[in-house]
Amino acid sequence: MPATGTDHIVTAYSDELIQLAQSIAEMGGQVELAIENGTKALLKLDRELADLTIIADQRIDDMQRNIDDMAVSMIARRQPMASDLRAIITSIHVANDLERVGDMAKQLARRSLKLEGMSLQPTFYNGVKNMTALVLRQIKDSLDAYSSRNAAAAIQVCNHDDEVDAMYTSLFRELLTYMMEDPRNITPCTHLLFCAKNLERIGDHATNIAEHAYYLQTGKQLTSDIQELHRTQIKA
Amino acid sequence: MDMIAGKIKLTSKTVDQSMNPLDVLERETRLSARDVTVHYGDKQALFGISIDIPDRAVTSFIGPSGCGKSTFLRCINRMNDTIEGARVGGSIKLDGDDVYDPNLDVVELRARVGMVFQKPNPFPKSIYENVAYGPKIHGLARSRTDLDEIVVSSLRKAGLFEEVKDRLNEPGTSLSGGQQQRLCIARAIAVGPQVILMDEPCSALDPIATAIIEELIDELRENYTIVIVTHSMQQAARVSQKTAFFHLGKLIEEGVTEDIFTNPEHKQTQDYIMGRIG
Repeated sequence: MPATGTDHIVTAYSDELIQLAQSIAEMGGQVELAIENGTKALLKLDRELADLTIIADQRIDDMQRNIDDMAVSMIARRQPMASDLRAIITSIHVANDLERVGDMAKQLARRSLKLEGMSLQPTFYNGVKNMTALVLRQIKDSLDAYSSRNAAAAIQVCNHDDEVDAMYTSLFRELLTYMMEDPRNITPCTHLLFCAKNLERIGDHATNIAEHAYYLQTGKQLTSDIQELHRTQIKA
Repeated sequence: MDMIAGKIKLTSKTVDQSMNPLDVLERETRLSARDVTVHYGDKQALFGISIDIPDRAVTSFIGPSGCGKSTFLRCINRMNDTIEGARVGGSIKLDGDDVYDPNLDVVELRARVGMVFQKPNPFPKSIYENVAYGPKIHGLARSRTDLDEIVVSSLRKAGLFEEVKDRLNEPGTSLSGGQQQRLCIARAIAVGPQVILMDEPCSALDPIATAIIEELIDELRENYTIVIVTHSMQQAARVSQKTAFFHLGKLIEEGVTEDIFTNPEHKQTQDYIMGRIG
C-alpha cells in the first residue's frame, strides 16, 4: 500500500494491507476489461465475447466476496486505526462499487444478444462508443486516485462526471430522433438507450470510488463545500 | 454468560443516551494545565504540558511506556510530592484553584481528586471499612447511619453493591480482581471527588472484568471528570471522549477521541495508533 511511508511493527499486518490493495487493483482491472468487452460485444454483436463477459462477472463477484472477507478479518484481528482503518473500510465500498459496475458490463453484454438480427445503422453506435471511452477513463482515473491516494485527482474525477451526464442527455436525444424517423428503430434504439443508462450509472460508480479515494487520503467526506468541487449532483 | 448478556443490554442503553462526541468541545474546563514540567533529579520527564480537561467527560492519555502520561496524571493530585527529587513546574488549576498553592491542603485536594491504580489495592480491612475509611477521616458522616448511607451509595455507584451486600464485613482482599478494582473506585467515590484519576485501571483484569469497569466509567462520567491512562488504545477509543497522545515527555496531540483515532493530525500520533515503526 503506497503513500504511508512507514511499515507496521507487525509485518504480517503490512502484508495484509498490501494484499488488500492489490486485490482492489486486480478487481479494478477485471472490471475495466468487462466494460471494454461488454461494449465490444454490443458494438460488434459478438455472441462469443458476450458469453465470456457474462461468465467473467462471476469472477468479479467472487473477488468482491474475497475482499469483504479480508477486510472483516483484518478489522477483527488487527483493530485498524486511522488511515489503515480508512483503507480497509473504503476497500469494502470500492469493491461494492466495482461489483455493481461488473453487473452493468454484464448487462451490456446481454443486451448484445438481444440486438442480434436487428437492423442497426453504424451511426446508432457512435454515441455509445464515445460514452464508453469516457466512462472507462473515469473508472481508470478513479481507481488511480484511489490506489495513489490522490485527493486532487479524486476531485477531478467528480468534476468530469458532468461530461458523462451531458453525453447521456445528448445520446438520449439522438436516439429519440432515430426512433421518430422510423418506428422500426424503436426496439434497437430502446436497447441502446438502456445501454447508455448503464454507462451513465458506471460513471456514477466512478464518482463514488473517487469519493472513497478522497476520504481515504484526507479522512474527510467529499461534500459540496469542497471548493475545488464544481459538481452539482453530490449525493446527500 | 448471563452477566455478559446483561452487560450488552446495559451498554446499548448507555449508547442511546451517550453524548455526541463533539459535545466534549463544549464542556466546561474542570482542570487546566499550563506549561507543566517535571524533573526527577536532573532528568526532565515532562516538557511544558498544556491541556484543558473537560468536566463530566472521560479524557484518556495514551503513549508508549515512559512517555510521561502517568507522571502527568500524578501531577494532578500531587502524587509526585511523595517522590524524592521530583520537581513540578508550571500550573495546574482545578476549578481555578492552583493545585500547587503552598497553602492548599493536599489531603483535601486528594479528596477532590480521587485516584485508582493499576493494581487493585484495597486496605486489609473489611469491604465496609474500605469504603468508610475516607468519609470517616474527612469527617463526612455525622452518624453511623450517614456512614452506612455513604458506603451503600458509593458501592452502588461503583456497581458493586449487589455483589457484596451480604458480606460487607468480609475482607476487601477476598474479592475477585475486578471486584477489588470496583471497591477501589467506590472508595474513591465515597469522599465525594470531582475528578477521578485512573492509572491503567484494567491492565490487571480479564476482558469481562475490564468490560464491566469500562461500562462503569461510562456511567460515572455523568457525574465526575475522569482522566484515564491506558496502554490499550482500543480502551481509550472505547471509553474516552477526549484523547491526548504523549511522546518522550511532550504532549504531541490532543483532541476529540474520534478524530485522534480516525484522522490524527500528527505523524507521530498516527504511527503510534496504527502500530507503525515511527
